Amino acid sequence: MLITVANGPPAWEYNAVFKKPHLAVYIVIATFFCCFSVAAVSDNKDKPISGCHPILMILGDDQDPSFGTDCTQCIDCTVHTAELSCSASATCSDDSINCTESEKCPILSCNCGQVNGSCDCECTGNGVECSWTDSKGIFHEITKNCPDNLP
Amino acid sequence: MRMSLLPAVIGFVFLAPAASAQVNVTNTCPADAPVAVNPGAVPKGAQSLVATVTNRGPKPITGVILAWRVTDSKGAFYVEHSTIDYAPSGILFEPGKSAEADVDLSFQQGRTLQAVEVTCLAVLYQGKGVWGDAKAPEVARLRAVRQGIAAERKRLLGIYTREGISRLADELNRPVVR
Repeated sequence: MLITVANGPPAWEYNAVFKKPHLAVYIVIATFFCCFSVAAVSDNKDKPISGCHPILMILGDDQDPSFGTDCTQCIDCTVHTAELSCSASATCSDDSINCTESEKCPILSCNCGQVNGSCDCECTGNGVECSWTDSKGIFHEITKNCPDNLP
Repeated sequence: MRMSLLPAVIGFVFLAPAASAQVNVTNTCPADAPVAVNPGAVPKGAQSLVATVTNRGPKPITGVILAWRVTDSKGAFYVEHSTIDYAPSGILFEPGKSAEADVDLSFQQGRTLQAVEVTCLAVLYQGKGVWGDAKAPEVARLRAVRQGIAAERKRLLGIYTREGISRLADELNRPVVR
């Protein structure tokens, strides 16, 4: 049965007229949220980087590696490459520090000992280098080489 | 008599193991070196060591490099170098003064510290004067580090001056020793 409205179109025609703008609004909103979500995910810099240990992402105010960096891990890749895309067995792209080599190093930590302040530690492929400047401006450095006579 | 022996016996029982739990430290820094090195006693479980370096004189010093040979319980030895560089500070290591040099004593898991040997590799004076092994790579390395620090200071000074940050520029304008 066709229902008619006085001075207006039939009900099905009425709905059809107003359905179109509603649908367009839904599409616009859905598109907006979809794009926003994709952008938010791709912008999320805190997400874990595949292959790199979380501790490697802890950087100081000046973007230098912090205390206690592990010689067995690929610290230099994360410091020196913008992409943070290295893995523990990867070779760093820009400074040619081979993290596989440093994994052979049995030095488990770079112990900066009495340091009161920032300390930079780097794996060298055959050991570790730590340096810092004390409160008087005196520069200190420890270099430690992996032993050649490992069993 | 019995009363007077008791503290000695107790002291022996408690102190003897403590005394034996120290690592053998050999100091081969020559007696005629411009610096004296005192690594002190090193407990067996130590992870790091701070040695005291004293300028014997007569000249002021700008940098000291010590060489260490640290041996673990399986006979693996690690060559380490401790560097103390006064050049960026603007002060000199004057005769009679002491400074501290650090060394790392960590090992592969399951190993312990067996022995430590220290010697003074080189001492740098103002200018190009060097006592010890002047041709050691560590001396060239220290000079390169100094150059790098000086270049970076110059670069930052340029930025701070250009940006009008006088407080930071003043810090970088302080004198250095070479």
